[in-house]
Amino acid sequence: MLNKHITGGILLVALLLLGGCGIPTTPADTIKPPVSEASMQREQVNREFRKLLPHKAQLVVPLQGKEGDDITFGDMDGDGINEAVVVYEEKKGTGRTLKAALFKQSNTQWKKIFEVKGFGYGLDFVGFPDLNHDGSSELALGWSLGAAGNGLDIYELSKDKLELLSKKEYQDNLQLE
Amino acid sequence: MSIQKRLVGSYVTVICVTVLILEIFLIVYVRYYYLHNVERSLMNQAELSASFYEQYFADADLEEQSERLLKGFAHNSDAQVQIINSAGRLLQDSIGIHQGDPSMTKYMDVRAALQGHAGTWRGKDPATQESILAVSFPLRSHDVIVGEVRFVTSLTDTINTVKHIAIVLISVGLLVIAIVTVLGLLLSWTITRSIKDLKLAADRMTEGDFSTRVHKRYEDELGSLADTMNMMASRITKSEQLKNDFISSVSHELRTPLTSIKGWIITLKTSGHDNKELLHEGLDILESEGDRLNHMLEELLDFSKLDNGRIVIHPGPVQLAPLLHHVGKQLSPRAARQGIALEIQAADNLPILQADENRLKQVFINLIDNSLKFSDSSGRILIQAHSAPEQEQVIITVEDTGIGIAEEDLQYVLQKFYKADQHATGSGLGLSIANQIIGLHQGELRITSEAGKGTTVQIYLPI
Repeated sequence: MLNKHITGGILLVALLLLGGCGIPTTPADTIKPPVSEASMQREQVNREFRKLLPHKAQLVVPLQGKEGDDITFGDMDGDGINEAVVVYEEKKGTGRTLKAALFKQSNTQWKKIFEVKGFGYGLDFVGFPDLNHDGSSELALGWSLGAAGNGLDIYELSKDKLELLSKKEYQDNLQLE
Repeated sequence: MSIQKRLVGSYVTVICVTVLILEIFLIVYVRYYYLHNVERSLMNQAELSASFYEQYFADADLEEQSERLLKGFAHNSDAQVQIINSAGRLLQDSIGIHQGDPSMTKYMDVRAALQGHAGTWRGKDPATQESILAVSFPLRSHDVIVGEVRFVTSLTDTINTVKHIAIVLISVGLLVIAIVTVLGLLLSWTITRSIKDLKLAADRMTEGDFSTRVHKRYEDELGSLADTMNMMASRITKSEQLKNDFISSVSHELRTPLTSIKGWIITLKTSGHDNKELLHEGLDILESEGDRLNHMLEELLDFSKLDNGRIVIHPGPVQLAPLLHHVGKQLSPRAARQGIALEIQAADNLPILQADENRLKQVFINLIDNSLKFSDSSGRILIQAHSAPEQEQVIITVEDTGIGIAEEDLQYVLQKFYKADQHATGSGLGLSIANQIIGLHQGELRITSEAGKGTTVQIYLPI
């Protein structure tokens, strides 16, 4: 019975060593702006979308954007109702995957209709420009590979599916036209 | 080997084996965990870089944009990053291109990537002999391999960390072994301490010191052994005491008739010639005192025979009623002299027993003698005999109205040498002998008594 306790102790110590103790947040990390009315609203919408995303997914903010720009709205199908795109990051083992999910609103309910894979380290730009001037917006996603440059994907919505229109590389300044 | 050594030895062996197995398992696991994770994260980085290249930069020439690409690939990574072209020549290196052989095909991972698979290689840096881990991933342009990206990391820190954890694990293991050894010593000490006490006491008892007592430490098996030993010692002390009492009382008993005999012989010598009446009286007394001595010696002899198991009974058919009447007749003069009523009630239907008649007679005489000895005048002794056919036995009861036996003495009266009153006459053997004779007949002797009211002795004899 004594041996059993000792074995248990060793396992516990081993688990602690392997798992590591949770380190509390440092003081500097707790600094953040106070909650504003707008941010509260955003938070509300945010939560709604987060529920539709996989568990533990992390929203990604574009580098050319500011805090709270993690959800971008635009009308892709020309029905006058805005669609929304959310870029998120999923941790898989030691790696992570970037994904962009397109949401459509029907009867005030948001529904995920399509998802595309992303590249690189992060998101540089996300927007709904109307590049071919057909009245409905396209989805532009700019992925970043740090100093190596960025890659721009343009998607068009057709029958609730995103279709890749073009793919190109760009450096620091994005010229959509 | 002592019990302590054996206990502690087996404890320590078991824990050493357990700790050893666990340590080996944990250290191997930690090592695998670290190396595998380092490799995985390099591979992820390489894969991410290569797929970005394939998606967006594949149209331009690799060598031309290699400097810019390197910056991007090295972003977020502390590893050394290299870009190698399809011929295996080093184009870019994040820690600077060293002079010398630019061909990288000597590395296994490089060759694997040029053939289109991700490659990993672990070994020593040819220049510095440092342990390194390299991961290569092919760069494709429209399904054609145009080169590869290679991530190289030093394993010095990884190995040091693994070593550090191993040292912690080994120290914990040693600490556990030390704790168990101390605990084992303590635990075995609690056991061997009691055993040592017992041995010491047993040694002293062997030397004849029965006044020694074992100190009882715990309520365990050894504790009850200590109790048993203490009880044994006190029994031995008590029987020693009984033996001494017996010797002194027997000496006294023997001396009384001898004194009387000697006194009478002197009296008769001096004045027995002419006084015939005195002579007769003296001879009567000499005879009765001689009988008393004889009786006492017979008792002692019987006892020693019984004690050695040398006594044998010679069973034969016994008519109980005549035997009891005979005994009653034999003792009635004495009863009459003491003014005690002696009554015998024997049932008519008593079966014939298979028993040793002389020994049974001895038992009855002994019991009635006892009753006479401890009854005052105007007392009454009732002897009854009846059969109990359903239990296949005969019950003989000797009941008196004597002084009785105190409750605390009752349990000892059947023991040899025991006398409730040390100054009473007799050897203290009578009841003990009677009990043993009945026992030899497969019977049973029970005594019930109440001080001041009288004693009842019941004898159960099987038919």
